[in-house]
Amino acid sequence: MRHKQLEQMKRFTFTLLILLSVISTQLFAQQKPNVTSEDSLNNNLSKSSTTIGGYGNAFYQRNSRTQTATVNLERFVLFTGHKFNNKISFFSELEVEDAKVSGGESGGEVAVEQAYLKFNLNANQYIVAGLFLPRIGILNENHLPNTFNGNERNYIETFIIPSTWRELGVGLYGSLNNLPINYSVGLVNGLSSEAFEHGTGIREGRFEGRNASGNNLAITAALQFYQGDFKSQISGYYGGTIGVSKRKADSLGLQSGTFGTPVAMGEADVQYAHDGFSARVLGAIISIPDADKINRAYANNTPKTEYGAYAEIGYDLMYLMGKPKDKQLVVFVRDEKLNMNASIPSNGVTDGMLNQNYVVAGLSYLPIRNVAIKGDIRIAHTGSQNPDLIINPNPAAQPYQQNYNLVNLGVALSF
Amino acid sequence: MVAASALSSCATLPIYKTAIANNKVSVPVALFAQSDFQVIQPKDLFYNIGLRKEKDGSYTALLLRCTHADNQLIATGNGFKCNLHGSTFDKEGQVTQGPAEHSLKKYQTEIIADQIIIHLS
Repeated sequence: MRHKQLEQMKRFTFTLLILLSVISTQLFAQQKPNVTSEDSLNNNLSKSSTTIGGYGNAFYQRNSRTQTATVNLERFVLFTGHKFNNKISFFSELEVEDAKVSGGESGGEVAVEQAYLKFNLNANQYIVAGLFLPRIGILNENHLPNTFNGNERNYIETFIIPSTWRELGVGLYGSLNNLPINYSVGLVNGLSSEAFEHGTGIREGRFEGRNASGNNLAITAALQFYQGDFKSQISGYYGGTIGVSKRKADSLGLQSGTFGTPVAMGEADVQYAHDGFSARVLGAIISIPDADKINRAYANNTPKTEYGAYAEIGYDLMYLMGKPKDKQLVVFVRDEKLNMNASIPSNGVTDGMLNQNYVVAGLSYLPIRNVAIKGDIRIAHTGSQNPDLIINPNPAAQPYQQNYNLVNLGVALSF
Repeated sequence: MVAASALSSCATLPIYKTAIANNKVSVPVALFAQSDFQVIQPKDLFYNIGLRKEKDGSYTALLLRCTHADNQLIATGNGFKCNLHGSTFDKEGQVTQGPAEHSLKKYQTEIIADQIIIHLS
């Protein structure tokens, strides 16, 4: 009996060994050998890889109007990217604003800032699909806090161009082979005019990837031109803002459809950098031709036209002192002008507070390129408050101050 | 002056397309008759190569792949830029703006007859 069991064990072990050797042979056979040197080259460059990066900034701000100060971790963002092969990659950004989100408390935000697949057509052209940042303005695409001067993003690219402005869709990006021009075109979900808020432009109308309406869509396009130390860009956006059904839109007196009740935006900018000196100029304008209809439906005081522009110059004092290139001490000044109710429909209310001028001046010290220590002052002047919009008149509330300033001290980083 | 600058930018274009053979790319020296810099586009590589003629007559080949997250770089008037997170590099491939922290990969080059050979391994 024992002898029989031993024989059975031997047969079982032998069979198992044969089976394992067959399986392992099959596995090795599935690894294709390199056939050509191109395969070898592409294999060297196309190793799949996962990258992690991020950025963040925090700053102290003293407001002369409210006589208060705040200290805030404004943003902490993690990038995660994965390269599947040379043709397909995935990129994402996860953002936390104001450090935390607690149930029942206002403030703070956790949001996916980007999450898209990138399909390389060749070295010069690629398609993106997912939640991405259309190429509009300067900061919407390149917004790392150690790469712009001042602790706050400029207000034109916050309230006119609502950076970072991300929507769901597809985009085609490319560079021409025969001219120094880059182009991009995108098709994304549209805005929601119902969500526009007085005082923040079209910013609250973004869906940012969450349950966006798909009835209304938007087209964006941009051209970039590089010449010597100059980079210039023009971009445009045109999209519908009504995502409800035609029946509901008709009952509200609104034009529905792909581009119904549209928002149109145009932007142009020029950047220059040479021998420590830098300058940038940007202008943007928004037209909402059916603002009166939006106001009639939603009473959110949507303007017909908004615009903003800024001009900034900076100089790297380290360059003047002949210091290493990875250290910078940039002194800058920026003039910002925006009017979020430049023209209003007959059923709108003019608010002088939305006609704003700022001068921002300060220093940015970068001990290394990816870290910045910043100090700046924002000198603000706005139009006067409309008495019809005063809810708590003086002395119940302090009278509105048209002139005030913000002093900011902070740090920023990226990696 | 603006027109002359624009023309000098165009002298690096059109992009020179070529094939890869035995892990090498061959580029005619004659390409550099009017410009010290050309963008080379090897077939099926998915990244361009920036090829620059140095003052001593040698050639430097830079892989136009961002060292931050492997994105393709575009040639600007004074270097290279990654539109993914904004990294920029100068013409020598050194980082001028982050978040990239490492300079661009260089390929070895040699001149054989009237051809510049870029070794891609």
